[in-house]
Amino acid sequence: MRAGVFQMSWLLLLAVGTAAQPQQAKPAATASTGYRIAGVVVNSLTGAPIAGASVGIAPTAGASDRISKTYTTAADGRFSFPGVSRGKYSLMATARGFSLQYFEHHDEFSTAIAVGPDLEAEHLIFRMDPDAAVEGQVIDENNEPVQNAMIRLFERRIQDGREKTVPSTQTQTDDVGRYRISHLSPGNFYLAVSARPWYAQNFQFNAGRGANDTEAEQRMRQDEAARNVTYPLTFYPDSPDSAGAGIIALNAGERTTADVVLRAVPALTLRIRLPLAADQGQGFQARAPRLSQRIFEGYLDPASNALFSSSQPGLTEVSGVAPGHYVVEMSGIYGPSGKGRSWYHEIDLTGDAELNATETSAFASVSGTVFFENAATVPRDSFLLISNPATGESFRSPISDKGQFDFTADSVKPGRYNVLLENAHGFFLKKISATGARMAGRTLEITGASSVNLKCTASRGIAQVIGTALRDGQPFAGAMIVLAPQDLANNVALVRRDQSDSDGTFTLPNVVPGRYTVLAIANGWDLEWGNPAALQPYLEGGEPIEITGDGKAEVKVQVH
Amino acid sequence: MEFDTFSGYHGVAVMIWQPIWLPEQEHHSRIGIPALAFLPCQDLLSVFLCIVLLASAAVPAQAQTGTSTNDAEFTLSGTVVNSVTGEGIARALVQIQGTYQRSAFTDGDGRFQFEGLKAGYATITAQKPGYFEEQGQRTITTYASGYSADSGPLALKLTPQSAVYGRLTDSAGQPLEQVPVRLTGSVIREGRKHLETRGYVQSDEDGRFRIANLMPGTYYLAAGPAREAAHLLPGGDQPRTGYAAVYYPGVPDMASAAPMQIAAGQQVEADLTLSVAPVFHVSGTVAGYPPEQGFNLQFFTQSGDWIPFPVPYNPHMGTFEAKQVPAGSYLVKASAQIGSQQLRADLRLNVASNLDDVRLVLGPAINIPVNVRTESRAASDRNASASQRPPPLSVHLSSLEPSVPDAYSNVSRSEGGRYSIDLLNVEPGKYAVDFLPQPPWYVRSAQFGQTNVLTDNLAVTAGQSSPMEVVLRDDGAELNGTVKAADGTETPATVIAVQQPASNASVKIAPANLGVGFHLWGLAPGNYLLFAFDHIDDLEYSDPEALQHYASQAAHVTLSAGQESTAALTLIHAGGGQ
Repeated sequence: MRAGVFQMSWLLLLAVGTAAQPQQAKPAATASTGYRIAGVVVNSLTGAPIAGASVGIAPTAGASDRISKTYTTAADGRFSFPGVSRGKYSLMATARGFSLQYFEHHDEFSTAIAVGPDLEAEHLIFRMDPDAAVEGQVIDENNEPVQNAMIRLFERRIQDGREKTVPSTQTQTDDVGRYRISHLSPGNFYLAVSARPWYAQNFQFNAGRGANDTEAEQRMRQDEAARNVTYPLTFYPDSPDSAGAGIIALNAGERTTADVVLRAVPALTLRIRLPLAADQGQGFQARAPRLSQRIFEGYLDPASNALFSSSQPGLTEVSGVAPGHYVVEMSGIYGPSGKGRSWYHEIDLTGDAELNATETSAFASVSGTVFFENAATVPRDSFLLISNPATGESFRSPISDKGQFDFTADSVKPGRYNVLLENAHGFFLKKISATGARMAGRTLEITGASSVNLKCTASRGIAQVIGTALRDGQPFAGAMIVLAPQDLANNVALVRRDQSDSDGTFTLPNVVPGRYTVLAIANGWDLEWGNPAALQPYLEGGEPIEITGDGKAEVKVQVH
Repeated sequence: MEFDTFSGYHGVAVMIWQPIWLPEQEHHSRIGIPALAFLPCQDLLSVFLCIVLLASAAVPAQAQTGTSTNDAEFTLSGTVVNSVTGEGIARALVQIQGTYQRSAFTDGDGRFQFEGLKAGYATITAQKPGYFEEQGQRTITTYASGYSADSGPLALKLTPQSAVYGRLTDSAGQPLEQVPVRLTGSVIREGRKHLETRGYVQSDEDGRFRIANLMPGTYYLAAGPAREAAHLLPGGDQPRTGYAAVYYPGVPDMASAAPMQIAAGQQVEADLTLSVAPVFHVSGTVAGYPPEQGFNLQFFTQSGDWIPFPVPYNPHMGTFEAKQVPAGSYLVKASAQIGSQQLRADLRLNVASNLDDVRLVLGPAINIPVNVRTESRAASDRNASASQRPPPLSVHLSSLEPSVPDAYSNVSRSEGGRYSIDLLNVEPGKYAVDFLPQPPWYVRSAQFGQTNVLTDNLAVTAGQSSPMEVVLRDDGAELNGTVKAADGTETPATVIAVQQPASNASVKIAPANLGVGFHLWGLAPGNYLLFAFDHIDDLEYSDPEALQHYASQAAHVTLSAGQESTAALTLIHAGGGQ
């Protein structure tokens, strides 16, 4: 089940009525005491019982995830919740040195405990991962601590069905250059450090220089040059490029040291010119540009060292920039015509450079309409979302009461975007067609600075799939359940997942009508479930299912 | 000049230890002395600025001198040293701000050198992370005649920053995480001791904390109170215990806390053990606020430190409920606002059981009108209505209680063009009153109810609203003079004039600059003690008792109305005492 999110009702599974009479001795339940959830909390590393753990259960039925009972373990790590009514409960615990964890958790899922006749819930072994931590020191090339350096941790994990490196958490170094990031779950991490040298002076107030400089002026410029430096974004252990980043494999309970040396490099200045209107000198105006670097699989990381200034109308100076490849974006450019637009450019900075915001490629200009079938009005406050999983960028446009949406003032770069409806009150995107770009399934592929028009049809009806994961005819707990649509590559947004509970059951909510295969995978949590090739071996063993309208469907799936 | 000539240059260090070095007149050295009095020192940075500026008075710069013509180039060299150890500081940034901005880094021994400097005025500074600029900006004159290797190099001192670190544990030795740790500094502002928060952090999962970038001084360290931390599930059963506040070295309140004397560069380890305290429910009502706007409610320790307890309240019902409040004494403050009028209520609570009926009734904050009457010796002024001009006075209420903020007078102008001056939103408490008349005006008398606030502190109680009556006169006396060191040479100093008997309006401060001396005016007629200090940053000069130590070194002068007088003073080393 989805940990901490309880939107489903379990009407089909929960017999309504009085607590069942004990049918046999095994589940120690009586009419007066109900059932019992019990077990032991142990350290996943050592197997040792955890004393003082705070253990809780929360009924999964209903709309709330309120913890209904808690129990604090003694030295033997044992917990017991007697008098529990028939039903399903999520089980969670926390202790000193152990962040809050759900039972058998994977990603946002966990195995809920089902209690009732013939269900065993009294010998649970709750393995908790002790928290891990990364710590270290940031020094400069002179072996001196760097204060207030920004430390960012990225995690390598399955995100949107693909293995990716995503931002995790961040902190700053203290007065002696030390940092620590604690309460981490085990995983694979990368670490990036950004800082400005404390002595850096990147603005060149007196930019004019030439052959006429006196000796005194030359000396001043030499001094300035020594301070017009910056630190490139530096990946642990010692790389300005994410390709050279070293993985920090953190095991449960592990405390790893990751020290980083920052080396100052000459800082560069990028000048960006906006077009000046030909008539009456009325210039264009724009928001401050954004400068970012592509790191890992394409994640756009804002250049935190960049300093922006403007010494004359229509000119933006970006100083303090380390050499490298940058994506330069400028949005909300307004000229005399009053129509807003965006501009972006990619550049390899090896020296000071100048760009003209009119010369190079603009963003794609995306707009369109949504037709809501059999609806008198457009659902209030609904949004169209386009998101690029590779870069982490997403754009949201409100849908007007005429069904129109508009991304033309946004910086939509070429790439593959998932198209989704948000907050649409039971409507789903049934059909999308595009001019100016390629549309495959629910994936929009933009190849250039084109003008893209989308025609979408939305239909009512969101279904749910409930089922049971079985192996050798027995319910199987903890399997990864995947609802895989046809043409998975272009319809990743339609995938639904769950984890089978202690009685093997699962629920897949918000299913868009269509043809699917339901898969149950025993050790599938490292699988790229958005990658058709990775799922291929399992498709044959899955259960095909066709969902129509907004009903419920029920399946039994063999675990592979 | 080659750097080699510096090798083994320990003579520099010796010079650094001399508190005063007088430049020979032919070097034409200038030292920038800023106005000293009443610098706002409300945050760390500006306190630091005060220190820097004041310190610059004590230790004049030494200029390396150039050749005899203005066009000539010359070389300036020196060292940046740690003011505590005397050791050179590597990789410090030295900057010259003059006709041209120049910068250089010190080498591994703290030495720097600028070549090709032109004649002109310039300021020179040194900086480095982990250090405060002890001497700060100083003006050097670089047009003097003849640079020579025999002249001593420039020595710039940096004061190493200090830090407090430690570990919080429970009585079983287990680390306590997410417990607030506060460091309160005792600072001297306007000659008066104040307590100010200098650091606020939370302990990490090992119970560790670190508060750095500290000035040397007197500090108090406190941790907690705290609730049971994150290793308990939310919801479900609530913990029945939390942790009581503890003050270094392990006492329950500020009154019995031991001050920590932290020297420059010192890294002080201070571990604290928090004891388990039962926790209670505190709930009640707040009345008297505008229903559409709601109110604010916060818990403070008795010594006035804010406690990050969430206090859920219902602005519609006027109810609040704080759960898991560790047993102890608290100050609860509620406030609201109608237009510019503040409403407030304070309540001291001793929590030793569940409190279900705590009631706070908001009332208007105290506004004290200041009625200023001017008595001018100019006949034309005598008839003019004072209220047609801004009164030449501002009043500062300096709080004598840590939980009560200071108050400053506010000048407003009615539609009819009449000026009035008020102390707005004054919290109940005890204050010292600082009068800041614009010279030539001086405070002739100041009365608040039955209290002569010229001589006595001001006690403000809730519900009080009588005006403060102040009479200003402009027939004050002037005093000029110079300050000499023990060896008879002129020296910069800070001159403090204290009227006898001492009163709140009677401390006047002026810098004494080389070649210019000092100038005090707007002095009320009377008897004065005159002190010329080398520095006053850590001197409680507003406290007559603190100055009493130096009374035997002070000069006496009696001034009559309108008198212009002179005085020759001898430098007093502050901190030396008697």
